[in-house]
Amino acid sequence: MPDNWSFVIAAYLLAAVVLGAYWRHLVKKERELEVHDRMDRPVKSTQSMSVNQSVKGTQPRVPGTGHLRSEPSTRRPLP
Amino acid sequence: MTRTLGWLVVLALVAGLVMGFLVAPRDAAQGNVQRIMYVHVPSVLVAYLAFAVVLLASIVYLTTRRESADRIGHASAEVGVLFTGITIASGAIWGKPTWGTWWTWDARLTSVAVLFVMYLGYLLVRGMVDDRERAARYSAVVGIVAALDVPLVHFSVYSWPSLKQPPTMLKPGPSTMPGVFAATLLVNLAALALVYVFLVTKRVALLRREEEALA
Repeated sequence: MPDNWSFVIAAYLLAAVVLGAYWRHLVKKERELEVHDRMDRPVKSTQSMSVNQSVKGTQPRVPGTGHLRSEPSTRRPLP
Repeated sequence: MTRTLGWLVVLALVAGLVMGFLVAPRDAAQGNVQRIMYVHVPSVLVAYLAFAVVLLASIVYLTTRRESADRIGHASAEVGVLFTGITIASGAIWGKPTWGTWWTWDARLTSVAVLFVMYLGYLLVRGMVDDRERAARYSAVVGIVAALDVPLVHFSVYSWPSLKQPPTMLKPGPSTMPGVFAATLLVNLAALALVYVFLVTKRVALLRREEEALA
């Protein structure tokens, strides 16, 4: 029986590539979620600050709809 | 916790490789190509484990509507599909030098291919239905139905004429395998089972975070 090392290496490499690719996919997803969380935090802090300030009367409320508005730079795109 | 598990996985994989390539001797009948079995057999056993977890998680979800059960089922199905894919591909790579063909439509190979497609269907159902609760419910039903194929895969070599030999692990009676081969298989099985636990843990955590981000 010949040794067929190329088949052995191919099988092990294939398993490594499949598991490695899935691992990378999970890491990528984790990074995306971290970016999402980071973008989410400033919006919340901006909103809470303007609520406090408008309650205290230090900053006039934005006229119009009455909704609190985030800064354009802190808005995240729709999923 | 995940970091510790990650290092444990790396150690177990290195131990598996050392056993498979340095400790286990060359097989007298098949030559070195038999070393593919140290990936192929543990992969299919881990896929069985993954689909058993999907079955349990699906039953728990349908009876209790716990979202955590749905997340575990989802993650386990994804990782189970990966291991089934590795099983099919490594089996084909082993089959070419051993049987002279990459693929044959015999009972074991066909039932594994059906298993692979069924769990791909499970993941497709999840992706196709927008409503989260309905997607979880439908996929739980698919997860239960698909699990019926697992015993069919395992016992197909007894029920139908097959090119495949009967199981060398998970069979009644004492093992006929030499000790060093059995030990190598067990070390690799433990390593891939740890990989499964690690990937499922990671995926479940990500699914929870994704849901929180969308909420």
